[in-house]
Amino acid sequence: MEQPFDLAASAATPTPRGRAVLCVWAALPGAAAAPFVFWQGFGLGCAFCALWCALVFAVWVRACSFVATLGSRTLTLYLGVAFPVERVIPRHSITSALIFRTPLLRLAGACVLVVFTPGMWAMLPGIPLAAADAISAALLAGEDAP
Amino acid sequence: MTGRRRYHPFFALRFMRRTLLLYLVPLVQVLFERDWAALSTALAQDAALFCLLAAVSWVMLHASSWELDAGGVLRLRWALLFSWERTIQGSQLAAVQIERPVAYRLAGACRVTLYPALLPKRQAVTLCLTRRDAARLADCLMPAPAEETYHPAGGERLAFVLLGANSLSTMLLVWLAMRQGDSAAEQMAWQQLGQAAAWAARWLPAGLAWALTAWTFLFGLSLLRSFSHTVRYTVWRGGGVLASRGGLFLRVERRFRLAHLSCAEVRLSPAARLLRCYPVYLTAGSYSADDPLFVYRAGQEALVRRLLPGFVLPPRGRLRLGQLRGRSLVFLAPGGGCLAFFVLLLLVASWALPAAVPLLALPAAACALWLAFEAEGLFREGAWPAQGRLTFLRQRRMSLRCVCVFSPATALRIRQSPWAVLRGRANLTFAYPGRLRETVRSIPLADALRCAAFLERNEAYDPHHPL
Repeated sequence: MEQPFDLAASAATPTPRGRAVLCVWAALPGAAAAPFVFWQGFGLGCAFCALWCALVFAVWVRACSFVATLGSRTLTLYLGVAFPVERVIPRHSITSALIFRTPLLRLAGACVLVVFTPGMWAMLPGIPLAAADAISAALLAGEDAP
Repeated sequence: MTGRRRYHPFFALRFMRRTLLLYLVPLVQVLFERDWAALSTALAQDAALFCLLAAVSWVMLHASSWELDAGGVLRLRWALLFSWERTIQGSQLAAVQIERPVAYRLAGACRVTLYPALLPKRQAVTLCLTRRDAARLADCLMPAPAEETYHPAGGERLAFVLLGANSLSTMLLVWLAMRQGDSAAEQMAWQQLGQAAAWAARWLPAGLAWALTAWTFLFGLSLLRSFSHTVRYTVWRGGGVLASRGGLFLRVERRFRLAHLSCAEVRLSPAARLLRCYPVYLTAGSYSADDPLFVYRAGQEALVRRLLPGFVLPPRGRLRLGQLRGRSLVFLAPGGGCLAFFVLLLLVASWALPAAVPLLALPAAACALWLAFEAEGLFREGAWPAQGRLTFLRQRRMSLRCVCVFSPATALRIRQSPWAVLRGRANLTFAYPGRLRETVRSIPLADALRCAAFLERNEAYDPHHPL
């Protein structure tokens, strides 16, 4: 039986399958463009594929480094290896949250959570659906919710 | 509460103004072919077009209306063929601005702009109302009884005029006015400017005389503009609202809901430091002001706290060389780059065209001054929690901005490059409601994390703040 997501004890990170979906998304434009680049020349096509693979690898690495933690007053998102970014969002400033799933994400048991504040929006990609539900419920339930 | 009300006829004029190009269509053929016999026909077509557009404007005026109910909800309606209604919650407005240019005053109209607290600036609503309706709307949406009042007088007013003068914005306005004006006036203006420059050229090299004359002319204009803003100027606070009113040609009244203030900043420009009078600027929701709200003298911090309760200045420690350790030199890039460019030009000019040296020396000196201020930013820029508020110092152009963040909805973003990771530095971005952002560069990572921790344990901000 699947355990409910414990919000207080854990941080939300993209699941391995969720990360794989993100990599597929990142690879898709490259895969679509590759035949046209190969048409221009085999060497050029190989260079393009290598470049795009590096890009997909960067997406995977960044997805691996992504962590979302919910404090008593803030939602904190950490992202990045070489270029670290930390976003601190006051919980009570979050006006709405959006959870969306594509067929691939559904197969992977993951989803994308987008939170909106008056000043910015932030995306939590590839996290488990249970975590997204728990975070979304906690964010919109009020400041003192667990 | 107000019942259904119509807009002022100037509302229709805004539509008519956008159709000005249409009148040129019948005239184009006449002007290109120089067929003067067909001019009367083209003018008749223009008259018919004008009548048609006037009729459309009249229909628009009568199809649209507004209404304010007792709960402070403003409804803007359109009902012709299709109908829509936009509802604006009065309590969700951060600022209301009522402008009365001379033309509007002659017609008894007001331009009212409503700035939402949580939405970006493009979602601000502009209405054309009669003077009485505008006053009633502002009083219902943001009642501001005068509990604390401030009138700039004497030296303070003089400082207000000087610090409110902005040569850059005046230059833009003059350029726009010359583009829209007739060529005879433009020619006359250039002739007068040329005479003044010729007079200055008795003592100065020709190019330098022109540059100084143009700058003096623009600064004089901006002083006049700033002076007209300070005529009968009053700032008052009451009922959780901070308001200002004043102006000679363009009368402006602004009201800010204190609960929705994003931040307040004091700008330390060279003129402000010389005068020891500091202008205070406000940002509320999607409203970001270009003009100072008021000016206070050094030592009059009580006045700021009286009008802006809870305002805190960022702590300013002594300058130490240790502060520079690991700090990015990106601060010096704009001013340093420009200075290097002009110094290079000076070197080339001193060899190839000695007459141009004084003209080039002027921008080089300005760039050197800019670089000096950037160097100050290198020492001073930073962010700190202080007395229950987030505060930061940010250097921009030639002024140092001391900012106090009021909004508890402000989010933070801490970014680092690989080099900043090695040096323990980070860029900290404050994201205010209304999608306005401000970044403090290359501050110690510990300071950035302290600001983030402040948000986590912050108890000074009201948890029931009306977001």
